[in-house]
Amino acid sequence: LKKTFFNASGVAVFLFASFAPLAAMAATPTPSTTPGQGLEISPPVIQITGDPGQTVTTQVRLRDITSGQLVAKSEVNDFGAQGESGQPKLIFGSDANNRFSLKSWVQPVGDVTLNPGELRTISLRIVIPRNAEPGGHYGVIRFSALPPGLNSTGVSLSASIGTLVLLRVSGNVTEKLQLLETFYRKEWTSRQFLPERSRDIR
Amino acid sequence: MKTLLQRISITAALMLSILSLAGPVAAAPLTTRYVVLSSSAANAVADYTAHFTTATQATIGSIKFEFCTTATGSCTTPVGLVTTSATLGAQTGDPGFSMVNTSNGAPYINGGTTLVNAGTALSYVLSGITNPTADNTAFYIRISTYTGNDGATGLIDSGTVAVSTATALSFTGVTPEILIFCVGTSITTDCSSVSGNNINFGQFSPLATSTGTSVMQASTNAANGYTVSVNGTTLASGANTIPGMASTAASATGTSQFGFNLRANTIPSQGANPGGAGIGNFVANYGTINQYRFNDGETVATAAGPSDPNTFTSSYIVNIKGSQAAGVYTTTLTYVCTASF
Repeated sequence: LKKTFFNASGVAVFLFASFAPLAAMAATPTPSTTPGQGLEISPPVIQITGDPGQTVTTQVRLRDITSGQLVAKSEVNDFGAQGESGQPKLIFGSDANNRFSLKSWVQPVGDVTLNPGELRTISLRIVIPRNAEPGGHYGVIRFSALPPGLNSTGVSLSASIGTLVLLRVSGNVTEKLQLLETFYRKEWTSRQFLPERSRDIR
Repeated sequence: MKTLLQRISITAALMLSILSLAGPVAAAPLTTRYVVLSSSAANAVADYTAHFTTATQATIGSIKFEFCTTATGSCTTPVGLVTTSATLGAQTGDPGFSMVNTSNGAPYINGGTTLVNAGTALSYVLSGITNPTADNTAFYIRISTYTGNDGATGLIDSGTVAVSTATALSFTGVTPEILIFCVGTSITTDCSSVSGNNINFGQFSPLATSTGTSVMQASTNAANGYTVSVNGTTLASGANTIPGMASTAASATGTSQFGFNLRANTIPSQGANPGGAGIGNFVANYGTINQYRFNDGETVATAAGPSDPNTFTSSYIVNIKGSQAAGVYTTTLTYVCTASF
């Protein structure tokens, strides 16, 4: 009986020793080794001019800065100004009334598959309609890493990076400036109120 | 007696003969000797910094630097080498010397009056020497110390150093305007270390707040900095949604809400304040501790000018009311980074 007991104990100890590491692994979540999403784009801003009816070409360079392969989906959006500090407000979807739209003039780029560290030069063709309104037209060429699919509650993350395109269509343009508001603080001197050049104006 | 004098004379004569056949007494070698050129390009005007350590205790009156095409034997000056415009720069170990550059290829410095111990490290900068004409050509500098001031009399120590011209390598690179941005669930250093691309909230409860975090890092050398916005819909399961927090508010269990901010929070305890050497920061709507918000398309972080990397941690909260419809609630949040203009 003793012999049997010891044999059974030995088997139990062996089994515990064998499976204990597995149990510990199950209890401690393994850190995610899935690469994140990261892109480098150059240049961040493109300023170009063109004539109505002209096709303008330019380039952006896109790099995968992560340790994994990325599929970057391209998209063109219009944008407007948000606030007074030069922050772009992307316009998703179409706005037929947007006189400054560039979106429909940019030829589709397609998706870009990048290996880790790979730098790809991407050509952009902007076809300016013959009846294009002179002046500024603004868009952003965006590349977004494809987000993962989810099978449980949660948030799928995607990184998107873009180059602002500031296109000026040649032609006669009437530029207007309206001074909407002005104020003067009691404690200000005239030097503080008016900039140097303005004070020289007679 | 006469015989003895004759013997002494004969012996002295023999000794003089033997000495003259042997030539000059061999000098001790200078040790730890090397020469650093400020430029090794052919034809370049360079500074030669000679380093060496004395082997013999002596008062060094002069030090000669002889430039030769070979290490030993008769000396031929390398083609193109010009030392007649050389000047003496910094002196260490035994200063007080002056340059004598009249003989091309064999300048020497003189004027030393100090007794120098053996094992003393010396260095002298010979400036304004034109390198030999040929690329990738070795030549030799024979360095000798003398007790005399003329660079020739009373040899003390000597040693030879090999040097060479080299083809000048040209390095060019371009730093374009760039914008760098990454998103993940963890990051250790820069964007190359970012990992993870989804947040699993697990099972929601009306009695507890579900939390999760993601990270993003941005940098640019663009003049006007960058803007990061969040784009996407709130958590949804089919037609059922957990409303996004349109107004900034605290987390409240028992109320269906989804929001985030970019701060180190205490209620619930999660998140981190922005880190990194850049000038980027959260915007006010997403920058109050324990106050959360979510609106599609809103700006969450900006940098007003060129900025080194900043890492932002998004801290998410999810609460549900008791009657929240069952389902798997998911969404995709796209963080968009563009330059400002």
